[in-house]
Amino acid sequence: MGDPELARFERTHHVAFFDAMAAELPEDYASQEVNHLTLAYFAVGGLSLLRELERVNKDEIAKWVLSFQVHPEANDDVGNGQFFGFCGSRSTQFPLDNVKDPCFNGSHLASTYSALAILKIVGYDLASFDSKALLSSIRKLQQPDGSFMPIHIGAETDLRFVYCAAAICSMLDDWTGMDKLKAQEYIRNCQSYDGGFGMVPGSESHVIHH
Amino acid sequence: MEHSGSGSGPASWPEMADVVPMPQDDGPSPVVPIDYRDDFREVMDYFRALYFARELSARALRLTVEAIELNPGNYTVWHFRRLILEALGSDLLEEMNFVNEIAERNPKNYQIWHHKRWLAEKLGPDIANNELEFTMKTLVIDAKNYHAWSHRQWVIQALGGWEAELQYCNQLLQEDIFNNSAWNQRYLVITRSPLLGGLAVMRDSEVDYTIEAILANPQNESPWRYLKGLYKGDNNLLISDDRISGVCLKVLNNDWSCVFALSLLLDLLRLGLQPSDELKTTIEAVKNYSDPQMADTDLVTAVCSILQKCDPLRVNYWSWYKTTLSS
Repeated sequence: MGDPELARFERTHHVAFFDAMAAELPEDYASQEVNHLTLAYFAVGGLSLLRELERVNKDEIAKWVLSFQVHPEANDDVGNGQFFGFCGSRSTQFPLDNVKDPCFNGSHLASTYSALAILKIVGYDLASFDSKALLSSIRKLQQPDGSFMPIHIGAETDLRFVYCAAAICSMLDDWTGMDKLKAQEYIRNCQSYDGGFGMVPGSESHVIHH
Repeated sequence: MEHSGSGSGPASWPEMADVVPMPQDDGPSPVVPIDYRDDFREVMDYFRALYFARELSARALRLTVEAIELNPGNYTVWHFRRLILEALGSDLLEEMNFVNEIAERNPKNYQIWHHKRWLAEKLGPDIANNELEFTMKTLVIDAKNYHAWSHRQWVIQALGGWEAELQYCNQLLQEDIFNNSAWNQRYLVITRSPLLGGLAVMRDSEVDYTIEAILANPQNESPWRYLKGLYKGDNNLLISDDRISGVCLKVLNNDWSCVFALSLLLDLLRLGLQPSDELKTTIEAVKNYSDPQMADTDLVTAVCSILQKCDPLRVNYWSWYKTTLSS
């Protein structure tokens, strides 16, 4: 081991890494493709933190992110249980013609969070973003115990998605999509006997949930 | 898009001959593209075609196996598989065996565990034992696998299996008294098992069990946390149980710098514990070891100062804590 005094933050290496990832993700990431937007968020977010955002085309990124948004049909019942947010990847996105079939709407809370975060980072004005359907449908994902399901076709519900929902509401500065009291109750129920927070009520407290 | 039917992919399956694969539409200006391998592309193109056509068939079921192999995290594929299983009236026990094999290779994949839960819900209490055995095997490999614990907790509460769970915790703690996941599970069993009578009934024996664990390994944080947890919401009972302050003093007499003992003592004092002579003497002794120059102060401030010295990792926390003490 070297002298700790000599340890440096290798800034150029990190910038090069994120830049390379933003340009193209190696085939190893194919097994993570459902989280494509999240991977993009890490790459873009990394560059932003390192103040190197000028390396990417911000307008192109915003356009690309927005292309993942799922919009209801003109006369769709936005309260029909589907979530109208962002898909995480093309593999969960199907032609808009068939969006009436809830199976073809792959909107996911984590993808939506990633999408909005990227948009914010690249300077897109979220006030000009059409969030009406998103905010009114996100409420459908909240469960009776206050937790959130990430996708309306069914999935595990836990504290991660309460965070995603809260982040979404916060970024859009609109909390109508969430019953905050119920969410608070769920969060409290996730607190373990040792004071930390688990992912679901009863589970062991874990650093990532604090 | 060329489909060479590279070897064994669906393009070479005779049963897929009439299927037109659906390429991924990457959109006008793809950003952060993924460099897909050809076999990956091929399988997903066929998956897209069948999914879009809503074809709930045996060949679609077989295709999901390929897609899952390549991408076990793709929740759309799992969702499609569930629709097919229901449409075909498939044997769900067989399906559970199938997903268990995949789980063994991907023990921390959310979609797989969710699929197991979906199956277990349908199979009902009869499957409880299988699920308990499977999670137990997973935990042998990785005692902290969060998914396994989560699933196990759900199985016990939804399908049953409380009977042997306390014994299971005993066994795990015998193997490794530092296993915090086992302590956490113990807490669940003690507080929620319909067979044990609840926390108030179990508390007394649990305090003894926990104190024994503390004395065997005072540096083990888990039993200290558990001990306090046994009195959650019942501070009056906590300070009136002599065993609690007792174990702190016993530990400090052997190791004056034990942070867990000092911090629990501090909690007790703040909650109104009337310090015994023994307690005052012990703190006085610890004060002398830790900082002989320390000015004379009240007991609580003294313990705080001692912690600032003995717990340097959290010195800022203890400094802040001191500021909350009323003068």
